[in-house]
Amino acid sequence: MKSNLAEKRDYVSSTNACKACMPLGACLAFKGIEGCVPFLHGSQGCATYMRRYLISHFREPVDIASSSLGEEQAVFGGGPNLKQGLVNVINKYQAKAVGIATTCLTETIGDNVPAIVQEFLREAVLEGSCAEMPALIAASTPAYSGTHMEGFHAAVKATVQSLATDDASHGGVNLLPGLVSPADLRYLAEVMDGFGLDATLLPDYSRPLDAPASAEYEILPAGGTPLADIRRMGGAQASLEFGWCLGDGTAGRDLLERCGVPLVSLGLPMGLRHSDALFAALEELSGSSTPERHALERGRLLDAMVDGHKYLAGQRAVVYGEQDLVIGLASFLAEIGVQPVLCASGGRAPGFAEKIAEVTGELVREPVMAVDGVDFYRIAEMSRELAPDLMVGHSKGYRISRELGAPLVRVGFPIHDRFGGQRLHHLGYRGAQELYDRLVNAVMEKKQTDSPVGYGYI
Amino acid sequence: MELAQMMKEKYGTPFLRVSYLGVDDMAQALYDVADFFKSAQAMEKAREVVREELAGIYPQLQELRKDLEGKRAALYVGGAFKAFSLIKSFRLLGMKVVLAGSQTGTEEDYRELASICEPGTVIVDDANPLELMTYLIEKKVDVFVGGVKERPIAYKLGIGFCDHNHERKLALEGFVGMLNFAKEVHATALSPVWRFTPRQNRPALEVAA
Repeated sequence: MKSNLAEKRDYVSSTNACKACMPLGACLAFKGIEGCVPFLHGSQGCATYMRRYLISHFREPVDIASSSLGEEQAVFGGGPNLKQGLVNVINKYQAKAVGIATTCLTETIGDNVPAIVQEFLREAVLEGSCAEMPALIAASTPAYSGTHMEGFHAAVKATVQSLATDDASHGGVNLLPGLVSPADLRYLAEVMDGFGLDATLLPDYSRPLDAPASAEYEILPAGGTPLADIRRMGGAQASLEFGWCLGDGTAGRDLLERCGVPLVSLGLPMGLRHSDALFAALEELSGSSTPERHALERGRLLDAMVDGHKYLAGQRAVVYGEQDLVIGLASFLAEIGVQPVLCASGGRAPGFAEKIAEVTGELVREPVMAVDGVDFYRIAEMSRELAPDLMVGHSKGYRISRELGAPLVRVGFPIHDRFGGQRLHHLGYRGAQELYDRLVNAVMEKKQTDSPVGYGYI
Repeated sequence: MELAQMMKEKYGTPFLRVSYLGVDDMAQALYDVADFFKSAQAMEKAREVVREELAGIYPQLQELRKDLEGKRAALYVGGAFKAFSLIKSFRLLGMKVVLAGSQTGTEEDYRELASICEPGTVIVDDANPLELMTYLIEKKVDVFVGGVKERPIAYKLGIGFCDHNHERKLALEGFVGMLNFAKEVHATALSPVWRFTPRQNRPALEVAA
């Protein structure tokens, strides 16, 4: 049964993709830069769809500009629209930065965005069309060549490449966490602060995408990584970069190669062992021991893992989402005695299956099936055969969860059918604790609901 | 027992002392009843039930036993009578009982308990958390069976635990109860969480960067 299930089939189409597109990830990253307006070079529908998708998760305003290409520009090139759009955005938003991401259309017609941007800068100076020129960042994000994760990382890398030009050394640390929640970002800032580390967290959309109530509609929401901090990332004592599936072309790698900033690559700090790895790295960087607050959180997490172990023992889970998140989840689930039976991702990354095998290792009783490049149609097919007790992933797996009667524990992005997705906390001991409580409660709730008796003690 | 004794005295109702815990005692209970009525038919029926039930659970018990063989068990229950059955149940799973006790056992109960335990087994009566803690550590216990009040003691020490009390939602009596018990002991004894708890001096697992 297993070998049959794991067998890859050649599809020519996707049904219910388990991923979003590259420019969407880029827009998310650009929202985490101070005063930055994401700008999509393409047709208007891209911006509309992404705004809808992001707003449903974050429940915050997400302004995304568009060069609004029509048929004519698709034939003759989108350069003029891009330039006109930039003038409008710069003047109307008084943006400090504009993050330009390409789309399928403009990549396919072959618009050379960096060249158009250079041209725009020359012309703008001559014409005086923009009073104050913001930082212009351009990322190449053809939707069909990757997922929102590749787009996210491409935007972060483009930001560092174009802005981090000052390499005068300072004692600060760069922290490149990847696509995590605003709650995770706030937590990471607190952790760095606790170690007395001066951290540049890039991107940091913890405030723009989880903002306090305000009297006005802020056209440029406060927060985001300060541009001044990004500019001096090249002088940091080290960069910490999270993720197992990033490939070589990352922002951290760029800072290493271009500015000689030592790179510490870690997996996502999810669960006990990988949080330990983060805190060990921070102890080394800071020369201080882990603050008591975090040591106590670790202790409480362990205590909870013991108290809840029998509720979770032998539970079988289907896990899906972005590769790095899935690896982090699989690792944590293995630590707490849940058997991941399927780890699936819509993206493709070399070594995904090997990494899953490595992090679950001897903690699990049966080997974990790991597949990448799959859609929800396939995940549903496989899940029907595997009959899991639990599903762990974002909102898009709900239909399968409903069909199979397996509770869905929502994590990651997007959360479109629950409230507070932006405040889900996944990282570190505290994040693991929150996730742990939700996992145990999902199992308890199912047990209680399914019981004909309706026990008050479970 | 007291109630049965009273009924016998007052109404002359005969009684049998049986246990429904564990395969041996459950089967014995059925045989004793058939024996009591001196009915060959009932005995035949009892044998058939035992055969059928065992055929259903025995292969699964053997499977679970593979992982549990040699692990060390402790039990501390309300009545000593339950302890006798539990000792047999642990033996069926290949486990070694290193600590046994009860809250309400009589002198007679403890004589019997001592006779079925291996030499060196710690036997406690009406113990308190401090005593239990001491022996759980000293005897390097893997799984502790007790009531809800004993659970946090085991968990703080990083020891597996199985509740054996009136709050249970899953039966431990009868043949299926033995299987439930075995599964629960297996689940707790083999949980990966013990690798991370402070008292376990196992080498830390390597973390892949």
